[in-house]
Amino acid sequence: MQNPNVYSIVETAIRKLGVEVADIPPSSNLIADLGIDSSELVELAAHVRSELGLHGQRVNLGKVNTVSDLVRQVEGLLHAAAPASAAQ
Amino acid sequence: MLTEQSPVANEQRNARGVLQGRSVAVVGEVVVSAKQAQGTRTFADETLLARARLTRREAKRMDRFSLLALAAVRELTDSIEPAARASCGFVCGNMMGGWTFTEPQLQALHTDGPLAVSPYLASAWFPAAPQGQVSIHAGIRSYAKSIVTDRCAGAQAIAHAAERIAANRAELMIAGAVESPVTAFVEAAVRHNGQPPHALAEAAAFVLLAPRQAASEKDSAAAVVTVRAHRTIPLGKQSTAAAAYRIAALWEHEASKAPQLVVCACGTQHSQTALATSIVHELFESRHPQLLFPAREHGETLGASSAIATALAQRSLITGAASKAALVLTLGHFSMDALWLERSA
Repeated sequence: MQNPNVYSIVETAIRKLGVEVADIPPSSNLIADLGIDSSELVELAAHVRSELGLHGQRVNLGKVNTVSDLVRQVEGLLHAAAPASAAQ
Repeated sequence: MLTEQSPVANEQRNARGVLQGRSVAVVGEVVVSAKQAQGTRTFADETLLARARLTRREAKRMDRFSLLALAAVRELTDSIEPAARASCGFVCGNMMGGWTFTEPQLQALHTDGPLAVSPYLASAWFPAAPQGQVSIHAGIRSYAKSIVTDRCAGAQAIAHAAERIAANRAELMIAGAVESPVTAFVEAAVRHNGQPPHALAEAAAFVLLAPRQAASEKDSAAAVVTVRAHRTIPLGKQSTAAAAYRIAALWEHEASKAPQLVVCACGTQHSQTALATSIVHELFESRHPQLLFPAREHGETLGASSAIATALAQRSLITGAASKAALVLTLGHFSMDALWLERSA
């Protein structure tokens, strides 16, 4: 089960790109269904990183095809960052 | 490096700069200038988007100078049949590149690191961006080129486009220049050179060129303005006056056709207009042509200024029966440029 908060942030970031579709289900293919190109993928990752404070952390865009893939990657980054935050 | 006559191929001009081959007519012009249109140095974002006919999603990839070029070119392409539009060529002059996009990205790089830099920076900033974006969005599928020099860029772009038509390599060309220089970095550079940064303003100007024969066939009664000659003289170590005398070779081809009008593309400072005035008086002695300084109305538009001057010269020749020839004289930063236009009934 994916984090609904992360999904919501990713959805908002997709809207920020200027994507105008009624619904963005997790299974949406970013390129085929939402018309996002490779440059916009980089922009999308930057929006998500900025919103979650994941500065300097890279999303592996080569492994991102769907909204769900991106949510999973971001959850992984948050999980990796959590122990470090807790330690501080 | 600048050559004697042009930064691009000039096989269609003789040693004095006179165009050889087919006669080339200026059949349309457009000037999109913030100062002239609304008395401000820049257009509002919404105005630019509307005139360029782009969505925010399309426009987010561009610097203002691409938007401005597209806004201006749209007014010319509207008058061209879709089939002819695809074969129309495009030459765009510019001096500074896309700093309105770049400056915030440099700041982001400095404060937040490389991952904060926009993925569109490379394609938005580079000086050929307007050429590419106009070609994509205005449906131009033929020859396209960018000329990036100094204030002379617009006149050089127009002369290069005219040359293509004269040489039978094109039937229709859009040429001119764009500049969007109102940014802190460009203002600092201008201030560093001792010029007033508040005079900078954004503008674009383009002309539509076609073989004169085609223009005459369309409307045999209308006056036609043709591009007769063009020269760029790099200043280098020689004085401005010496360069001006070399430019004078332009009108030696027919002494009786001294220009009744000289449109000077130069800076807004008094020293610049005084220099241009003294050159014109020296070159034309007692013939006293009418002198126009577009920068007084349009501001300091750098690379776009000689294209604005050419568009205004064309307009003046068409509407003012007294003028049969006009010289567009540009005092550039590294060179001096002269573009000679003539009107015939």
